[in-house]
Amino acid sequence: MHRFKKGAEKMDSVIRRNLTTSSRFTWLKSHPKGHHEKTATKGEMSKEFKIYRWSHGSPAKKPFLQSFFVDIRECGPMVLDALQKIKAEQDSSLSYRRSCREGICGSCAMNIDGNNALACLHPIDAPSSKATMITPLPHMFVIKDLVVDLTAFYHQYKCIEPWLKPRSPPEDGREYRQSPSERRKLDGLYECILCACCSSACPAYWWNPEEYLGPAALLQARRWIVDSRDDYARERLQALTEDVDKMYRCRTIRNCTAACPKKLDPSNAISNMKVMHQFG
Amino acid sequence: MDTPFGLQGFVDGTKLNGKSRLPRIPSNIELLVKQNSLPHGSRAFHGSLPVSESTKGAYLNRPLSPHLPLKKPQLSATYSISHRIFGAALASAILLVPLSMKFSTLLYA
Repeated sequence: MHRFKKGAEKMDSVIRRNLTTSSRFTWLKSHPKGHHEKTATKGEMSKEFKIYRWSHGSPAKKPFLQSFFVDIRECGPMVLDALQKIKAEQDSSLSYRRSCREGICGSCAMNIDGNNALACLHPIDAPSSKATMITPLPHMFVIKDLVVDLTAFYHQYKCIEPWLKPRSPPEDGREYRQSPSERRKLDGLYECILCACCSSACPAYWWNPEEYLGPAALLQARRWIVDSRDDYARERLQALTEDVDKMYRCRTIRNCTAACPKKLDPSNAISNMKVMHQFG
Repeated sequence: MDTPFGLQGFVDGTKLNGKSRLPRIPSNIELLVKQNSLPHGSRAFHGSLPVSESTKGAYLNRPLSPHLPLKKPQLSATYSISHRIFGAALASAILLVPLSMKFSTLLYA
């Protein structure tokens, strides 16, 4: 009986302790990274974020890096959480795109510490005392702060005609059928969320942002070329290779593959299309 | 409207077999598109301006975000650029060394 009472007290204290900590960090409750940071750090832990600022409201002012200090014990585990906190508590004029906070919309693509990443999937580098630098996607026109003009990027995506083009209606009059092995060919291609991390990491795209379509659009082109339901693979490939700029500006630098937050391989997709074009 | 969904995305010049038809386009489509695509005070979307994107960016006085010095170098990228540098160096050596040998005065000493 005594043992039972002792056990119950112990359990109660554990639950209470968990309650108090989890009420402070409600949004971190189940995230292992956040839990680790929470338990590993003691006291206030201030982290510096250097954020690229530019506004069309004051065009004479050059872009500059503004420092913000965030207590990461009171903040979520990801860089986007820090940005949200800064915007809510320190400077509401800070602009960035964000939507889903789980890496499926691709809105919050930005350059974090020199690498393109989605802010919602990039953990804050808490152990490091160095400031985290956040800039917009490289070599893009800035609209405000971390928001860049993606018109050309979307236009390039439109250029590859990203829709199914069959020559005849479906045989059963209802739908185009695919075998599991044909469907498997699309794995690693269809997951692209068009966040522009790969295209803006590519030096070839930096120097030819309009002529060269960029890895994201080319990955999508590959996705429609290998699709067994699409009957225009040859024409699609011909459209990509009719001049030397659209696809052959790719020098296989492979920055795109390193940058992709969804772990896709645009470089391999482009190489496969080059092989397809050269060897039939 | 019994057009299958997969056929609604046909582009111009694609012939349809059988009885299925494309959805009819309303005659006042231009008016509709114009009204929808350019609400008051917003920019045109999808590059409807005849100028190129880089011209547009410069025209609107937008800064270009930082790129080359900022991007962290990667092994693959470093290999790629060093491949080009060494290739250029090797090509110039292959061309210049025989030439310099031929025209060198030191060799006659």
